[in-house]
Amino acid sequence: MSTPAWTLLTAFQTCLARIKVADGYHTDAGLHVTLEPRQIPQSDGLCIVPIIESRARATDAALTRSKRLVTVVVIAKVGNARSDAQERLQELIDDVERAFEQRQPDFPAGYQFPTFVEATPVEAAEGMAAWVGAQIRFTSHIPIR
Amino acid sequence: MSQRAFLQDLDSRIMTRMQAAGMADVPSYRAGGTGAPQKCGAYVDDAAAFFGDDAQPVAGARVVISLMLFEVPTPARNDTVTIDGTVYTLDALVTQDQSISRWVVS
Repeated sequence: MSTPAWTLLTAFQTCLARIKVADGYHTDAGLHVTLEPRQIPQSDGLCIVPIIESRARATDAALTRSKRLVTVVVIAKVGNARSDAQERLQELIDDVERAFEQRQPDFPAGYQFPTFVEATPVEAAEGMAAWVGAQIRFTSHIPIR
Repeated sequence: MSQRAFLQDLDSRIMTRMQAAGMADVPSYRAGGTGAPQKCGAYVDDAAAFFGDDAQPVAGARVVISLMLFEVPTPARNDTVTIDGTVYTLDALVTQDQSISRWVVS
């Protein structure tokens, strides 16, 4: 049986997999979603992975016995952006945020719909100037088990 | 002889020997990527680089090219260096003295 945290990540994957140019998004990041992060080669061009960053006590007093507050960070990166890096970065962040709009049904009963917290850019690496990326954080209350 | 002239003369001699030994390249240099091709000497240093200090780093290369200022007096971003068919674009200055200019390329 799947753990609640994995169930949540699977729902994230379902939402993020919709990010395709053919469906009106800026990028095809949805074709590159994975749940198992690993080192990837530069030739991949795009990557997107949601991971559980932390679990904490529920912030709502009524939920402390039954729920955990989970922070999910979506790591999204795109290459080939040498001359338009900032524009590509904003498109990517926009795609990730938009992938969750009106998608409450993708999250099972008892799983709070994720709340956007922040998006922070990934620090640039010398020699890999054509890459930009961001960490986009969401929080959600999910069942303890 | 000034320090600049000495350094440039020394590096010129070293470069000639290195090229003869196969330890340096003779690329084609284009200002802005479109200027007239110009032969020059260059050292290429390859190293790995990683984008993102997180769970999914992107593995790439950090290539540093050293150019001789007596051949290429004013190297600038977006100038290109073509070596064995590979086009490197100057991206960021790493170090520069009176004789050698070292650039991270992409």
